[in-house]
Amino acid sequence: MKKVFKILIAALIALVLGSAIGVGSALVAYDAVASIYSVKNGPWQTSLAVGSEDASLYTKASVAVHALLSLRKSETVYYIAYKDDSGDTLNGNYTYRIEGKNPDACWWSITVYGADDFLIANELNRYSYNMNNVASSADGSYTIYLSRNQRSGNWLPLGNQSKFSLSLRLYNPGSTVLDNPATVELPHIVREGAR
Amino acid sequence: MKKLIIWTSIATLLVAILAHIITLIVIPYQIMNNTMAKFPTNVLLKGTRTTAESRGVVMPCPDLVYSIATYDVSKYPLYFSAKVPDAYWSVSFYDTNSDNYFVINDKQVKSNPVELLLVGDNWTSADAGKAQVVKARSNKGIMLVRYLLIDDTALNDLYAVQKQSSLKAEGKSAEEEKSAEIKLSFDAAEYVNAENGFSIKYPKDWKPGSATGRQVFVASAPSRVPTMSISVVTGDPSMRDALSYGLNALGFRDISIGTESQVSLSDGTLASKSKLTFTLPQGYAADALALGAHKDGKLFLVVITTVSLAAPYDDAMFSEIARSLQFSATRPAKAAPVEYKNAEYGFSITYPGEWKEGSPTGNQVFVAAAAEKVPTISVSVIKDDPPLKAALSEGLPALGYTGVTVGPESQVSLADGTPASQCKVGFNLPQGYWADSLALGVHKDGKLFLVMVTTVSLGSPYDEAKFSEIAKTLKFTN
Repeated sequence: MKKVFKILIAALIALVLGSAIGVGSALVAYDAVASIYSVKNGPWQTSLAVGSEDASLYTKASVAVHALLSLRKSETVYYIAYKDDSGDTLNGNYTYRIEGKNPDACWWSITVYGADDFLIANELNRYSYNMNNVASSADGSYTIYLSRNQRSGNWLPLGNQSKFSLSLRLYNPGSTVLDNPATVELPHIVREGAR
Repeated sequence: MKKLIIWTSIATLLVAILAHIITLIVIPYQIMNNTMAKFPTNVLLKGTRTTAESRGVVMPCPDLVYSIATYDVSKYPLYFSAKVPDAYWSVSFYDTNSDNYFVINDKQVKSNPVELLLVGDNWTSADAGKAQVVKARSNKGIMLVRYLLIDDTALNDLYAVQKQSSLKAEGKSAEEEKSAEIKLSFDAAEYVNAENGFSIKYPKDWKPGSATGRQVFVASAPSRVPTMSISVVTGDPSMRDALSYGLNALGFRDISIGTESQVSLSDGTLASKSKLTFTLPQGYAADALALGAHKDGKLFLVVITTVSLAAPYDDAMFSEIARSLQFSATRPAKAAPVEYKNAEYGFSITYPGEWKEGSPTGNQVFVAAAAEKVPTISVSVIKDDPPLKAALSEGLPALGYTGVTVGPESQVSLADGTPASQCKVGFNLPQGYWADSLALGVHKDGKLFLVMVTTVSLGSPYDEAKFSEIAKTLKFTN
């Protein structure tokens, strides 16, 4: 009788402790594990399995939380950046330069998001630049500034966000992107200085 | 004992692995279910420009305008038709696991307008007409239409294209459509207003009360709170303006109106929702939920108010009641304009049929006003034929109005060709509200015929073109 009681207690501990560890570790780890298995390209990361049934459980969970209703890779490839070219976390106290050229896609856009994954409110209602409205040089290169205070030229306001992220969307990407997501030339994210 | 500890550790590890995997599987389903619940089923919601206020789905793209629907093809296939614009466009379908199992874009469509038939797992008919058949991977899910906004100046053109899209259940009879009831969490009574073409459901034990002012219906719980009022405001003001004006007029103080969020009604109509707080004349602090929907040039305003000391504020329930507001498919006919004739001075003037004639005072010979008192029209006949500007700047202060400002005059013609002068006038009413008025004057037979169409913008916005059109219907009959 005593032995049965001990086994029941052990089973209960295994159930409660195991569930807590399993659920907790999944909630803590899905972003990190999805990030480990993502394709890295400078400060950008992506997964070509986004939106498809081939995506891992970690990727699916991460996409559901941060980028629900994403399209599959044939339609759009999404690159996300949480860090700059130096590997430092993007921080609203600094000014950043995004320097790039037109990538191999029918259409592209760069959007800045707040820590809550929604657009950052600002008086200009400006949240992104895309291939139609970015001011660029004759060779197609462009520079976009990210800062709290207004800048001339292509400027994306950071509001009062301390943490933010960037999303580069490549609609109907070409084979250069689909075949070489880790090496295709993508915009650089360079930190300038405070404010 | 050692053996038991080892087996317990192994069992804990196995349970942890299982729970870890189950959690990862459940996350997308749970988030999709929560998102699907935000939108009415099988109704295509046509969104507006994406801004920081757009919070229906995370990471929205601000360069796109979206249409979205939660679909359910368990009983009927869904027929989707849309005009495809010149710029990027796509329609995509997502299953309950959030997988994007189908997408087609502007370059891939075989026809324009594009026609798709989304079918469930029990669909057997081979007849899809011209539509491309899309087999839903799960009977329920989300469809999302993306329209690329090239630049802001093209927004209205894009809305016009977006408007030319539809989603309907194939094979569903009109009777079934009609009897499709929204499941509510309470036993409901229904109020139907045929005059304005809407209905709303509310808890059965709430009793209808007396509507005042612009209210068309009031109902309250047995303990008097919560109480629901429905107002129909002509002039289509913003919800915030209508609330400020209406609550002030009722004598409420310390009015605070929260941020508006966009919600959809049970019939798919988009509406704004906001939480308010104010102090009642009796000194009690009140909380209220307000929902405003614009239809037929009117604002339909539902306000559910409670005094938390007596009945707690229940956002979910109040929201459920307010969102049961439904507009009938057949819109009520607009009342025909009414012509007022004055034989003594030999003139007539035509005003909106919804406005009611009132009692003129002083020099006025005719007055009419909308149900909520503004806008109002008056015709005065002033002897000695003063200039229009003098009549306004001297006459209005004599009536107790302060801060009178008279704008520059312009020369216009009445509908019958008679020359007239027109200007904008602003002044403070004795009640403390700022009023804007369009004044039109005609000099005839040694008299000034003065038409004023006046409004308080908080209650009904100043609309110069519309007011001028009304004033110019002044016609002389001899």
